Amino acid sequence: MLKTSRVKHELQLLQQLLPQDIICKPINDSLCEFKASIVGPPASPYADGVFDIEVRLSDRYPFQPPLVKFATPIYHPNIDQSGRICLDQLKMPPAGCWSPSLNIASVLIAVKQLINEANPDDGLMADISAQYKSDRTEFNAVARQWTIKHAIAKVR
Amino acid sequence: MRIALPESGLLSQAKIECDWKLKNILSNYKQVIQQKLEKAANLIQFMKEFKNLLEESYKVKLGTTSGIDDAFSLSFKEILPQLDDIGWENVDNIDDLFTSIRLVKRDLKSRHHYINTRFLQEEEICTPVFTTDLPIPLHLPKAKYQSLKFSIKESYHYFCEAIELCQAFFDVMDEIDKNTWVLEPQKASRASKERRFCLGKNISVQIDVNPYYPSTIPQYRFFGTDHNVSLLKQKLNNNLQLWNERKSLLTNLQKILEISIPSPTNSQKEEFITPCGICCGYRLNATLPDKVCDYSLCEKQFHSLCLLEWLKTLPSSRTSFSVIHGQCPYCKKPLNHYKLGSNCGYEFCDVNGLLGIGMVYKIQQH
Repeated sequence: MLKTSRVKHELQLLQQLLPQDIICKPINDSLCEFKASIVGPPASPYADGVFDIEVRLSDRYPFQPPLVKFATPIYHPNIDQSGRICLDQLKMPPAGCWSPSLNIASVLIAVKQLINEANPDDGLMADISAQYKSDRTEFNAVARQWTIKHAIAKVR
Repeated sequence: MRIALPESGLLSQAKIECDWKLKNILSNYKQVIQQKLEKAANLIQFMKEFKNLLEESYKVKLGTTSGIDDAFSLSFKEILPQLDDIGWENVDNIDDLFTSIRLVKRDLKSRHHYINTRFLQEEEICTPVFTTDLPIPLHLPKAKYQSLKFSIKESYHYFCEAIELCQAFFDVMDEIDKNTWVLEPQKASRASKERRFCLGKNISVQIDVNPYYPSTIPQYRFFGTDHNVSLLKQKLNNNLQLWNERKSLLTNLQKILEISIPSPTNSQKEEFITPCGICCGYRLNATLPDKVCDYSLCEKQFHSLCLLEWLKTLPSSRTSFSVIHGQCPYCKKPLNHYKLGSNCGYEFCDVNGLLGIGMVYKIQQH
């Protein structure tokens, strides 16, 4: 009951708030699993790539943040091999800043922002973070390779 | 009944046909009849034995049902003439077994009131139990009420008197239902003395009307931000002496609170009620959001239950006695929430309210 009204409201929010380069749809009728796709920001190594993201709502949602994972491999300081994302909004306080005032749409927008602007000081992947800080050209090249291999090839 | 003999003339192969009543009585004796058919020397002997069997089975049948039948016919005989007197246009519903009767009374303002009579059968005594949708209990003379003689007619008479007594109360409640945005109860019965209705955005009042003195100051409790509630309480305390019992309750409330209460004719319900900021629903376990963030730029509404659940999840929330201190999930401003029960957040304003009323009551009665 608590969750149903909430998720119904969120479905409306997804339509209202999401920009054109983010799509998010429920996978089945249970309304606790969503599939989202974010288009890589132009003028970044991720440009034109389509990154699939899995969003899962636990039974305790919205008292717990949604579980958000990348399904498409991405070369990024804050996203690890298995797709886990290091983002404040996805963690419970005091470590993070999840709050019931946030929602799936706002979280996805934050993820898109994170793709565009990595946060190497709070990196999940130590070596990628170090490379991001010291050798940006090399980082961009590898990120571009990954994007072409995983996020663009798939589209064709 | 009809007995058809086969061409061979053998009794054991005879066919017996009868109507459903007889069939019902004989249903347990199929095998016995078959045996008797086989053993009987001729048709006459069988008929004699069949007659004995019939008499026996009929006695058994009577023995098991006679008690109920008697009581049933008794109640039937007692009730019907009474219903004739009351008038069949006032009978709303009678169930198949005649164990419950619902009568209706239409008052002068064409409001419908119902009284339900149910007969509880305990051994041989049949006691009627009355339920009404009145805000006051129905006072029936005890001796008559418990006697075997069903006093439906009399109870209906008392019921009508009680309705007359409550006319002013029904007028007050109808006025509230018609002219305000009632939040609770969702579907008020005639018996319900409580109403919670909007006074403005994010502020509402719950009143408990006295059915005997509906025009006096009702018990009240305000819902809203601390700031708004204290403002209203101050006005109420300052203007209490202006309460005029000859005017309607709503007129009095508007005068004393110095506001105009939004009505369905000039406003939309959505202007005054916003969904809970956590579950995004209006009703949770049939209650509307009842906690508001006190920060004037936020004023987000929450269900007590949702807010408590969130504050309990946070390690940063502090609890002292029954108060939990945390932050509003939206504006992050400090927020206090009372932990015990869902309504305890309003305990203090409630106590103040009650004290105020108690005093006024004394003044009026002396």
